[in-house]
Amino acid sequence: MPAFDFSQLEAWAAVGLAFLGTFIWRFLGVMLADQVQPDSMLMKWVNAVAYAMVAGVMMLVLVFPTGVLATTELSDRLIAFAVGVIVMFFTHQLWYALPASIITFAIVVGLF
Amino acid sequence: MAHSPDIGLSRGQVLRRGIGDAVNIPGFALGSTMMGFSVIAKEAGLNFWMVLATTASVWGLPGQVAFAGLYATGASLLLIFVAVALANMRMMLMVISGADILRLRDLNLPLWRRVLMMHFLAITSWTQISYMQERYSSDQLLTYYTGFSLTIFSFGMAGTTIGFFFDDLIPPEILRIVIFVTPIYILLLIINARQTVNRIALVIGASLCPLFYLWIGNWSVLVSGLVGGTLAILIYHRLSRDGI
Repeated sequence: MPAFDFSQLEAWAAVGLAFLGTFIWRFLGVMLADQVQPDSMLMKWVNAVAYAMVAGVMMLVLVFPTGVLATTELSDRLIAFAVGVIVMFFTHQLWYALPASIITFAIVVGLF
Repeated sequence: MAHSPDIGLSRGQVLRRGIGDAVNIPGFALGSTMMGFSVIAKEAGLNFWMVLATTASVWGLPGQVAFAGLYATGASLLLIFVAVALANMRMMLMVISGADILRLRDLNLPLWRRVLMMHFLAITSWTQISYMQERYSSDQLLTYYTGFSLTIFSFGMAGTTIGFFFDDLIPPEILRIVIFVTPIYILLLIINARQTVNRIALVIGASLCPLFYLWIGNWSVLVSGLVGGTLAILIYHRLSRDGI
């Protein structure tokens, strides 16, 4: 149990604010979606930024994980990721690359 | 992913494909990731309904993790709001991109329906429809998205519930491997991006974000995204102009 004493009401307010902090972006996205012309340079830029952000967020999970993933070594996570990328590069098959990466990870963290 | 491109499929068939593709690695990987979130949020002191409401209403893992982490430290409500908003800012661009992929503007749906549909758009389903967009017509893609995103959502809710009540039953040695699947799945899927410009963007974004994180924390996603996306557009046009 945590040492901090949020009241029930404050805890629900926190949940509500977490929702609001996400909702505003989705709502703005829906509002702006109609303004951006398809196939325009702006839409290409939006897409490219979205790809860069998603890649960035996922790399943060790999490099600075929280919770139980943080009990593994950075080098183990990066080796497993690199194996996946290499298999993907040569085969272009997700269903080879993903298992290769996960099995590598299981081996390097010592599951077997 | 051995599906052949097929424009002739019926609505029901496409819906079943969307559901079928979700009841697979994406669903189980995301369910496990939400299990991991649930364990963190429980340790932070949130009760079951609060944890479930967070998954259902936020539906974006980085923001959820930022929320649980800050809650555990007893951070102020304002800080919680700002941190979640920062961690999930990319939702706006994903929604603009997702609405374009699904051709939502051509459907004339009321605002609440568009907002509701985009509520279920998170990294996994956005990545999936980006990947599938050339396989289906825009009508089919919308049906596919409905089946896929709602199934993924159900897996997320189930994972949150299981994580909260059965956190002691899953050995951490197994859980940490299962949780590793989601980031790897997403990264490997986007590496396959068809447009070169998006591949350049994701390589720059993936390389810069962890470096920026050491320096500017949660702002790193926004900054590396903007830098990566903009540089990718510039590099790509330079290359095309030079005829490479």
